[in-house]
Amino acid sequence: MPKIHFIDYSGAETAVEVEAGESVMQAAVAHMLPGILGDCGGNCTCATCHVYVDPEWFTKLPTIDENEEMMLEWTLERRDNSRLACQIIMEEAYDGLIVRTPESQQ
Amino acid sequence: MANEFTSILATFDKDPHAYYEQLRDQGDVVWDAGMNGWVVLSYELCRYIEEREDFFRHPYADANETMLDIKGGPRNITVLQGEEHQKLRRYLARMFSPKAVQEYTRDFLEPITTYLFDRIASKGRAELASEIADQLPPRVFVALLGMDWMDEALVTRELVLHHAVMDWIGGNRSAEVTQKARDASHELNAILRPEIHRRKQNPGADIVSRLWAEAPEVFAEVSDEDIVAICRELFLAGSDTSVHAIANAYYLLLTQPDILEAVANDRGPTLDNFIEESLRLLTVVQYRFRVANQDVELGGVAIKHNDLLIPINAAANRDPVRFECPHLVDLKRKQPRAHLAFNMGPRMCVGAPLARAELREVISAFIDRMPNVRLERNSAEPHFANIYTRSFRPLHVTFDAIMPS
Repeated sequence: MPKIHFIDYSGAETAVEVEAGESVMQAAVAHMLPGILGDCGGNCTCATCHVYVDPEWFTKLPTIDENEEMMLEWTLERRDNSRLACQIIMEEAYDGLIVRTPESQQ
Repeated sequence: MANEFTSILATFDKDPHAYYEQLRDQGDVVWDAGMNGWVVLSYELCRYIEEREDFFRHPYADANETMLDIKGGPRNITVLQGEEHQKLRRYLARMFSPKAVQEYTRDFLEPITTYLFDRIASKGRAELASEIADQLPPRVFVALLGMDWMDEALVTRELVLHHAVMDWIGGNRSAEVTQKARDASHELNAILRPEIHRRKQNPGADIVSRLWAEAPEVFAEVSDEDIVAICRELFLAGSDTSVHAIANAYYLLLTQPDILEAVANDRGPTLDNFIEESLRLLTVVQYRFRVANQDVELGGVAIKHNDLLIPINAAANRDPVRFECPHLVDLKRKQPRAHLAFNMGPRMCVGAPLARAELREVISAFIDRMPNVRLERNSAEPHFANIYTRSFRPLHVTFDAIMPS
C-alpha cells in the first residue's frame, strides 16, 4: 500500500498507508489528521483540503483541472505547489508522497 | 426527562439533548412518528447520509409548486441538483472563500459591529440576542446585496420574514405556517426584485452586480428571477442561522466564566477553537432532511426506497463514539472543525467562512466592550428556543457602561 507523509505547519510529521484509489483528503480525514478538513466530502467545492505537495512530487501528479484551479484561486496562502488533497487519487507510483498543510487550515 | 417526549416535534422551545440521548439508547436510527421519518443520531451515519447524495437525495429534488414558491424559485441553490448544483456551489464558495471574507470583514463586519456596540456600550445593560446577535448577520447581507445596512425597518422586517420561511423549512407544514411562509417569500421577492433589476442596469461593487456579471459562467441564460432565487437563499442562510450561532456563543461565555477568561486571554487558537466548540455543542440547524433513493440498511434498520431520513446533526455533534466528553466545551479538542454544524458533503454551508468571521468579530467586541458582563438575575432566563434553528435567548445582561469619549 502506498504511503503518504503529512507534515503540518509546525513540522510534525505523520506517515499513513492508504489503499490505491483513495484520495489524499480521505486518508487524512480517516486518520483524523489536523490541517485537512475536507468539508465538502471530496466534491472539489470547498477548498478546505488545501495542501502543498513537495516539489519533487508535484510534477509527477496529474495536472490541475479547471474546477480545482477555480477553487485554488480563492485559497489563502496559495503557492506554486498548491493542490486540493481531494483531487489527488493515490496510486502505487505515489508511494512516499509528501504533502504539507497550510497554517490557515489548522 | 425520560419519556417526556415522543417526537422531536415535542421538544419545541425545550432543550432537546436529553431526548436525543434517550433516542440514542434505542439505536442510531429510530422511527419518529411525529416527523413521519427515521431520525439518525450517530456522527458516522449523519455524515455518511449527507455526503452520499447519490444514495440519499435532498427532498427539494422533488420540489413541488409550494416548495418552489417558498424557496424563491428553481435556481435557489438548495433546489438545484446534480452538476448544476455543483457549479453554482463552486461559484458561491469562491464568493465566500476565506480570502473574500477578509474583504467583507474590513468593509462590513468591523464597521457594523462597531456601530452595534456603540449603540449599547454606554447603557450598562442590553439584551444581547436581539440587540447584537439578531443584528449583525442580517445587516452584513443587506450590505453585501448592496442595500443600506442602517435601514432599521428593512433589517427588522427581513428577519421576521426569514423566520416565517424557516419555520416551514424546519418541517412544520400546517396550512397556517405554509401560508405565512408563502406570504413572507413573496414579500422578500418584492424587496429584492427592484434592487436586482436596478443593478442589472447600474452595476456596483455588491454581490448582486457580481452575479449579473458572473452567473453566465454557471448558467447559459440568467433572468431576473434566477438572480432573485440565488439571492433569496444567500439572504436566508446568511441571516437566520448566524444570528443563532452568535447568541449560543454568548450564552456559553456568560454561563462558563473559565471559558470566557481563556478566550479573552487568547484571540488566536483559543478563540477559534471556542467558536467551533460552540457550533458543535449548541448546533444551530438541529437536523436536515434526506430521502432514500433505494432500499438500504442503516444502523441495523431496514430503510425503504423513498423513506424520509432526518439526520440530527445536533445529536451527531455530541456522539460519544466520535467526541470525548461530548457535552463539554473542550478548547483543546483534536480536530475542532470536524463537527456537522455546517453540514458535510456537497451541501455543506457555503457561507461557513463568513459565519466564523462574524463570530470572531462579535465575540471579541463582547469581551472588549462589555467589562464585567453577566446575565441579569431578575430577568427572564435564557432557554434553547425554537426547534429547527435554535439559540439560547433572551440574554439580558448588565456590564460596566463605557461612556463615549
